[in-house]
Amino acid sequence: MKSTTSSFKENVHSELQNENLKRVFGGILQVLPLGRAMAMANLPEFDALRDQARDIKNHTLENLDFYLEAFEAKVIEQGGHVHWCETHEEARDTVLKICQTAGAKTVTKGKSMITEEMGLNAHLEANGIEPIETDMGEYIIQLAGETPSHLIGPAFHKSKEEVTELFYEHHKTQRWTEGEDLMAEGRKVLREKYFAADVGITGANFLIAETGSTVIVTNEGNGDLTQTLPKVHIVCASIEKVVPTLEDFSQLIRVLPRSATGQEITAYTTLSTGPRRADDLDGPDEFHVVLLDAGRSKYLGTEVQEVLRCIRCSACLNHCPIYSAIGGHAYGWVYQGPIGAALDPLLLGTMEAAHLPNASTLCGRCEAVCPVRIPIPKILRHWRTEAHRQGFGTVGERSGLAFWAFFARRPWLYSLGAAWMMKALGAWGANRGAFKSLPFLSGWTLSRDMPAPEGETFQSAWKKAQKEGRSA
Amino acid sequence: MSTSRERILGRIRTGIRADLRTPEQKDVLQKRLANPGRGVIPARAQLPSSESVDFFETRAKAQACTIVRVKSETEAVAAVSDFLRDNNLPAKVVMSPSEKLSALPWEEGPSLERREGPARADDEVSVTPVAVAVAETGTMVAVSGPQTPTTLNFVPDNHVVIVRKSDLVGSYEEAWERLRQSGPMPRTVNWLSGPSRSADIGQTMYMGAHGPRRQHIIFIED
Ligand code: SF4
Repeated sequence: MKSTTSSFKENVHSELQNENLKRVFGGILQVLPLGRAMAMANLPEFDALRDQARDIKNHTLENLDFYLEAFEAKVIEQGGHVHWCETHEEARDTVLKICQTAGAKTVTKGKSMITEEMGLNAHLEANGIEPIETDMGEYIIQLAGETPSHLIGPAFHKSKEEVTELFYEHHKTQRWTEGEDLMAEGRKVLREKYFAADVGITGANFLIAETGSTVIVTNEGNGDLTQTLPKVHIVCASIEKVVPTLEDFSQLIRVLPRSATGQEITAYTTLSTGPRRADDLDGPDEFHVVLLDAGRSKYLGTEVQEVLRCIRCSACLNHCPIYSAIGGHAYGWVYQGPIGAALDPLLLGTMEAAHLPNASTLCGRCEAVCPVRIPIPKILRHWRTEAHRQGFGTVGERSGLAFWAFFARRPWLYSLGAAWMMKALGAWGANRGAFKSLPFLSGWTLSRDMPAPEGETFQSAWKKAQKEGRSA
Repeated sequence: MSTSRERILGRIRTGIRADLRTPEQKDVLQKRLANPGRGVIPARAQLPSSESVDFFETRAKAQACTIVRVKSETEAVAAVSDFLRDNNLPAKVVMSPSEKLSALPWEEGPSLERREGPARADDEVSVTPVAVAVAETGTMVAVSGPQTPTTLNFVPDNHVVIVRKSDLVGSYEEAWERLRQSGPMPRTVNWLSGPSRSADIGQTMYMGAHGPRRQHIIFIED
């Protein structure tokens, strides 16, 4: 998927004006945190399981070569294939080749963030193969020609009325207005596609080294029809998805849906291991796993390794004040919200994604709810420093910061300068109470007023208070 | 020329300092893979068997399943017909060609058209057994195999699942233990926890997105 992350500021401006977005997102972003809180209350062991989840992911990352090779050996043992791909280009070419060898005209797809990363759909289309998204949300945005706005609800930004128009435009049947009728129509249209498809492509929430299994976690059952009916099943997964054993997976699955939607378990959790066996009555004849690196391995052993623990539950998005204000599209790429800001610099490059780590108040709610306890604020600070080091920021911002740093390192000069500034601003603003605009600070005053200072700095007020024996 | 596989593994090994891994440490990893320890097992997954059936029922209902508990196989057969009648469905089902089902006394129940085999696009009702059921989340585990095609769990609009008390365990970990005892990993293991659903249209939950609209459990307390 092409990134528009570098135009983050423009994206935010337009999304902040989007009333529909506010209405639609507002509702769902209240429901999901509530669900999580209830699920937590019903499972006293939840926090202990989060510790387990973190430790299992850390252990696996620290021995990633071992577990990936073990996983690969098991897949091959059961008659499957593993394709290691360094880049998005290599991965989409690999998928294309498998589809072409199978003589595929249409492929059905379960929900997969990795294939969004790869830009797979456009690549298949360009080569004469029709990809059909079967997750209802993905299907909706595919019809609309849009990208996902939320990790687990790709079409959360779309209202029911918009779906009515989309379906009518594309299916040419009836202008359904009831949600149930719309769902039934989507189901009917996609049903035919499952049976006609030559290849089914899914993502994976986990890979299990012990058994060579890939796991998908869904509520719709679309992933299951996608991977059971066609002759060929391709799984696209990134290297950090592997966990050691079925027992480790069991620990993680106890925190994933609870953190995501508040469900104790989703309707369907499915393990796939190799192609159909000789005496099986259904299932695919071929099983391929496309293992994608795309920049991840380079960050093992670095300060940001911890971000690779992410299990894409979306809890950090659902609890983020920034995400709920600007929605998913402003982030400009596959991953949104706090995890997007922490992960995109790793996958897109520090400079391309440099705006994202700055679009955070570092309030820490993301870290507080993360089921694998990723210290997202710490990682965001790392990316900020890194981007600054590489020269990110306008000349104004950078020289402003340098100017401030000069004084900050000289406390006596700083308090002298600040005292003078406060007096001046205090006198200027004495009669108005607040400034509607200030030189150099239009980014701030465009959408809020800056209160006029009292004419005194905090430091001098503090000193005075100390002398008078009260707290400032 | 090195392959992508070698380059990826090479970068991983450099990053995690795999060169420092001792033979003893490698041994520990092998052992962990072969004999996985269990982590935190919630108390709800360790209830005495007298309580675990009730717990299973509560969880399954919370996931929008319907469930009837019956005392005998004869009652179970009757319960299939009850379900069809109550939901205005034709007396026609497709079943897993499984001994677990063929052993039921079908001739004692009302007349019912039964076909065995994988699902076809126009099948309306399937009846399947489970490999094991898990009380902790009201989850039923189905596996693929010559007696249990996977399509029966997803294609028909109505899914009737026959669970016996002897199928029920407390935790996921116990379920894996049972599967390991019954042979190598099957191609597909399906955890089924309620009917298919989606909240992708207008942020409202509707049943029957792609898989069954109804999931009905007949629980035999044998
Ligand atoms: S960073 Fe944590 S909270 Fe956010 S999606 Fe990943 S696992 Fe979930």
